Order: sequence, then structure tokens, then C-alpha cells
Amino acid sequence: MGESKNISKFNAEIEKAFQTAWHSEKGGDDNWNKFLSSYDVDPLTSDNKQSLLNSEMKIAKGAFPIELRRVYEKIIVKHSGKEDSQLTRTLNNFDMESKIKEYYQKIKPFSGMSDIFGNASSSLHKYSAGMQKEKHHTMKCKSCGSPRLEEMQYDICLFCGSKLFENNN
Amino acid sequence: MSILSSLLGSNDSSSPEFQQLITRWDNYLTKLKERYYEVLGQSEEPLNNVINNIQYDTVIIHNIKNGLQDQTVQQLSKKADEGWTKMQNEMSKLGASWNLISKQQAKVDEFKNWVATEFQKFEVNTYAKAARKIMNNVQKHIDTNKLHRCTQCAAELPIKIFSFMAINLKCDSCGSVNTYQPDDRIRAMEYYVINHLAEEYAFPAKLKAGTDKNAQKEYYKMYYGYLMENVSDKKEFYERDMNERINNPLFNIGF
Repeated sequence: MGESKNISKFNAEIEKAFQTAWHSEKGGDDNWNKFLSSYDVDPLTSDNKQSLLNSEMKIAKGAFPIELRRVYEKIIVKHSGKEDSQLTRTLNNFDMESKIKEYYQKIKPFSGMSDIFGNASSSLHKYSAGMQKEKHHTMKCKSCGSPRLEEMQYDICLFCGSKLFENNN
Repeated sequence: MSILSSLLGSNDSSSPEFQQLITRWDNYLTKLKERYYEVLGQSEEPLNNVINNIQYDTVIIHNIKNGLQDQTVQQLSKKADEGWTKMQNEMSKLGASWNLISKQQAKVDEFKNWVATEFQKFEVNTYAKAARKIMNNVQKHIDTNKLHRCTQCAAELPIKIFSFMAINLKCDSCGSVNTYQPDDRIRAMEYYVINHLAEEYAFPAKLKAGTDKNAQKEYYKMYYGYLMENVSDKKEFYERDMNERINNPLFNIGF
């Protein structure tokens, strides 16, 4: 059995409120304010909005969750007078907290960014720190001090015949 | 409706329900694209900050890139797949034909391809920016006018500061062999700077080539050509590497 028309209407209104809030500018815009007034909900004052914007609860876009909550409450009141047991059950089971939480997940700044940069920051200078300056030397015989005279001279000293490179094996 | 057409579904895409569904689907994919730009937009400032403070290696860029790639290419592709599962159910409920369904499914592959390519562009661009910063840092700390003299007779040696491998150099004057190991910061440039600039240089050819194997050879020629020109000590090594790649009979099978 499909959901009743009343439930569909209720869900459609909830969804419309969600979408309108979500797609409004950060902190709300004219379109959202019109939507609020259509439900007879007063928007937050500029001072309130400013203090929320400066709070720890950051948002990247959309209206404030408290305003959406007020709209949801109005929608529930609007539909609660109808004699429809299925609708009544839906209204009773409407999980306001999780709906508001779901909305906040959509509008909060992407928190993974600080984790990405925080984790990576330990490697900023880690590998550059151990880099050595240029080295320039001449391989000499340990017995007589004669310099190596051939680029591929890996066997003996051409002056005294001692081994140039010691083999530890 | 015939029995066959009821089994195969309808090819009629003109119904308002179907059109609404397609619009919703297109909007969903558009939102995923917007999300891609949103995530990368948020990374711009901290990433510039990292590049400004980078020293001689791009290891941190690699670590950041992996995180961003997960948040964009992987996560958004997953979302496209999840969205498609719902979309497919909705289309089946409307009785859409396999033909119509597969046409919409192709949009998932298009999106995945788009997000992967866009991220590749971002990656190449980011590494190239970091490479230029590293090159600038190295140039500030290296004395290119420094004279190198033979350890035995002090005759001047023709040592190139920008060398990428240790060399044994026989002094023309006394015959002693001088061993020169370049500065690690210069040697590291081969990978952290020149490799990334070579990729940036050849990248348009890679994009243009797509999956065309012959056209991909042009990319390899440009990439290795840049390395051969800028890491002249290892020209023969890179030339061999390039020829191995483009002449490999298995090249046409895999990428």
C-alpha cells in the first residue's frame, strides 16, 4: 500500500523547506526570508546571525538550522489537525533532531580539509632536512697516498700495487 | 502493448514523469560537479600556503594530493554509483526500456571520467607550481659560480654544478681522478622539479591522446624529450627508457 496523499504532501513540504534552506546563501537570503514569512516565521535578527556566524559552529552555505527547525515545527502543526491515522503516526515519528543534524551535515564546511593538511604537515620539511651539500674528493691509496689515476681503477694502486678498495667479505 | 515490449520496457521518454526523473538525475550529477569545485576551492588557500613554505621536495604535496583525491575522485564517483542505483530503480518503476536506462547509466561513466581528468589537471598544475618554488629555493642556495679545483694540483675542473649523478673526472693537468657528488638538493630536482615540469609540458598530449595508443607515444616522446634536454647527464638513460616504452610490443595492449 502506498503512502497517503496527506503524508506525501507533508513530506513534500518538509523536503521543500530543506532544499530552500540548503540552497540559500550563507546565513539566508531574500528567497529564504520569503519562505520563512510564508510560514509566519520571523528570521533571526542581523545581530543574532552575526554572532552565530562568529561562533564555533561554522557553516559554508545555507540558512541557519534554527530557522529551518522553526519552519519544520510550523509544518508539523499545519498537518497535525487532519484526521488521518497514518499521517498522525508519521508526524509522531518525525525525528526532528536527525533531520536538523542531516541538514547541518550539508551546510557545514568540509571538515576533512583540516585533517588532510594536518596529517600532511608533518612531512613538510622532513625529507628536505637531511639533504647534504656537494662533496668533492679524490680516492687515494691507503698505503702510499697516491691518487687514483683511472676512472675505472677499482683494483690496485698503480704506484705501489696495494689494493685500492678493501673487501670486507 | 505487446508481450515483448512489456518485457523489454518502453522506449517512450516523453512522459512528464520520465522527463522529471531525467532532470533530477542531471541535477544530481551537476551537484556532484559543484561539490568537486567546492572541495578544491577550499583547498586553494592552505595549498598555496604549503607551496610557499616548501623546501626541496614535494612529499607533502603527494600526501595532500592523496587526501584530496579520496575526497573528490573516489568519494564523488562512489556517490554517482549510489545515485545511479536509485535512479535505475526509479526508471524501472516507470517501465523504461534497457536502451533508455543504459543511456542514463552512461552519464555515470562520463562523470567518473570527467572528475578523474579534472583531478589530473589539478594534480599536474599543483606539482608544477611546487616544482617552480623548489627550483627557486635551490637557485637561492646554490653558488653557480663556484670554482672546483683538482684536489691534487688545484687545476680548474669542468664540473657542472647542475649535475644529477656522481662523476669521476680525470684532471687534465695531473691525471688524478676527482670524484664529485652533486648537492643532494640538485640531485633531488631530477624528480621533484624536472619530472613534474616534464609532465606539465607533455600533459596536453596525454589529454589529447586519451586511449589512442599511437597518440600516447607522442606524450612519451614529449615527456622524455623534456627530461633528456634538462637532465643531460642522463640523456642516454632516458632515451633508452623512452625507446623501451614506445617500441614495446606489449605497449598497445596495456597503458
